[in-house]
Amino acid sequence: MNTRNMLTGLFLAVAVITQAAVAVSRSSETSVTVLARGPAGLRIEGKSASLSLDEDASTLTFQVPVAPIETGIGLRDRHLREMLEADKFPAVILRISRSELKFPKQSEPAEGTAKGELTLHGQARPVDVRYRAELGAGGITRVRGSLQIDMRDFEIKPPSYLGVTVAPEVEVKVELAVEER
Amino acid sequence: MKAALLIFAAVGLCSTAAKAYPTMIRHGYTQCASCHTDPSGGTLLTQYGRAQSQLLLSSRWGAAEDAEPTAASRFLFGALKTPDAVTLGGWLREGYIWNTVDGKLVDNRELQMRSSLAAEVRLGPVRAAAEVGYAAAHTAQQATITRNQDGGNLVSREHWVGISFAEETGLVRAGRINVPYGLRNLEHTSFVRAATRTDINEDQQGGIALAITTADWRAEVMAMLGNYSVRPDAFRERGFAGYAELTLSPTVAIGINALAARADAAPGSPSPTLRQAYGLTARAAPWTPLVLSAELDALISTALGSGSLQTGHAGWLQADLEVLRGVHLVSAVEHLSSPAGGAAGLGLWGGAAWFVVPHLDIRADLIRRSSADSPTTNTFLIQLNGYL
Repeated sequence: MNTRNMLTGLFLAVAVITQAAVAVSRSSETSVTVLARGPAGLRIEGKSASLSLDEDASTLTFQVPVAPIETGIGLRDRHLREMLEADKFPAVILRISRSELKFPKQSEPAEGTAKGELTLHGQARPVDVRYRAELGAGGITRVRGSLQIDMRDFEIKPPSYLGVTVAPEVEVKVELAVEER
Repeated sequence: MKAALLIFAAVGLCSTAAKAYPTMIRHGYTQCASCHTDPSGGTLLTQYGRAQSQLLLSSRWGAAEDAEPTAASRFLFGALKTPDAVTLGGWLREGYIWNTVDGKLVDNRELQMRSSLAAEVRLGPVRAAAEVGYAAAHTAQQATITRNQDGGNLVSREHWVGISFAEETGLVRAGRINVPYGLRNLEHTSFVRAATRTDINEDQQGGIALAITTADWRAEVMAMLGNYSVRPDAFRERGFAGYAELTLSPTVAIGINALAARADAAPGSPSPTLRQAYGLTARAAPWTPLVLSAELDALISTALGSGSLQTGHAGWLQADLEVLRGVHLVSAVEHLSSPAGGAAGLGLWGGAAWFVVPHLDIRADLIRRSSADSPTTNTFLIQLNGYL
């Protein structure tokens, strides 16, 4: 669940960056955070810095592998991979049409909400992604994106472990820096 | 006489430490209610909490990082399966203490620190919890339920019934409850706990409390109606206490605390008094193995008859470094300026704890306390703690 959300956020954010040229994510500045909540204030954060980007004339495609997502507890990471069937669906894929995105200009950040298609757990669903992109020095664009998903939309059963059931709604936040190749 | 008091205080240092680990913030656990039946932490572990104890606290002994918790994490090491609605646990803590006053050994002996059983039952939103145990003579006297003056007593640190609501975000309960104030630290005899009378070994109060726990903040407020282990009634404090803690990040939390309690009299003082404490707390794990926690309390004592007002403060700063999985080096510095007067006290704590296997740990502490008007005391305490 966490993984899915994270991936979605990453995809969206990356999509924002690229206008015409192929963009390359600077992995050292990529951060995907998936936040899930449980009863009595339980907070679970998954993090990853793994993201790839492909593009064609009309679409940006982002992939986030499930396996590298870490929640801070090894067993919980394994449960996450099992829940997402990572061996069968090893990556989360986000596709966003270029026409959905505004691109930043010098001293003029771009922000908005883009519609995309998120494929998670083998299920493709439309998603809304909020984003903000800002051109920085050296041709680097810094992007922040966020979205919320309901894991049940992707045929994922909210996990329950030793009396603690995680809420199906998951928040994903992405921060990344992209430079033109 | 002064030496005798110091020895008595030192004995207090080693008495029953309850289980509470504010340092779990290093693993992103800023709130307590997932792992403990008390939403503000300490006391009985939930099933989830038992699992986390094995997964995060104990040495792994070669077990894979993603291995499921074993039967050893369960009640009675898995020998007795309990219904989901019932949570059971128990404590067995034994120790040995050496005390010196001005460098002279004045006391050394074995300590029976905690022997108790606890249970919680959940039926829909209704929750009920109780603990009963045995305390050796002259220990945990604020929690006794029997009246043996010169021998051991039965104790019950907590017993309450409550109703949870909003998908367990909230819990309102009534009974004998840990006072919601300050860090719920293991070092329950630290100056901050003693000066604010929020020692989870025995300073619970009867009353009604409302706790709210979310992923971003938690709070509990309590109307204190008196500790009914204390007699006569004139000595019982009544008032309010509460805290609110904000999660700034998964590994940083800050809190505010307040307590005001009135008693008609106190031992040696027939006049009514109002005791107040206002505190700030902070917990942070700047690096996963390292947790820093701090508390600073302003203390105010007012003699209601004469209107005289005395002030003081208590402070606590602790570092917990997990050098190997399950092995911790713990050090702290504390300061106390009591409203009751006397020179300010300084305490230094140093020690190590090893969570050897699930629910079994050993710990050694050296505590040095000094002030300008009292001899310096050193306490060395080793303890073995088992959780059933």
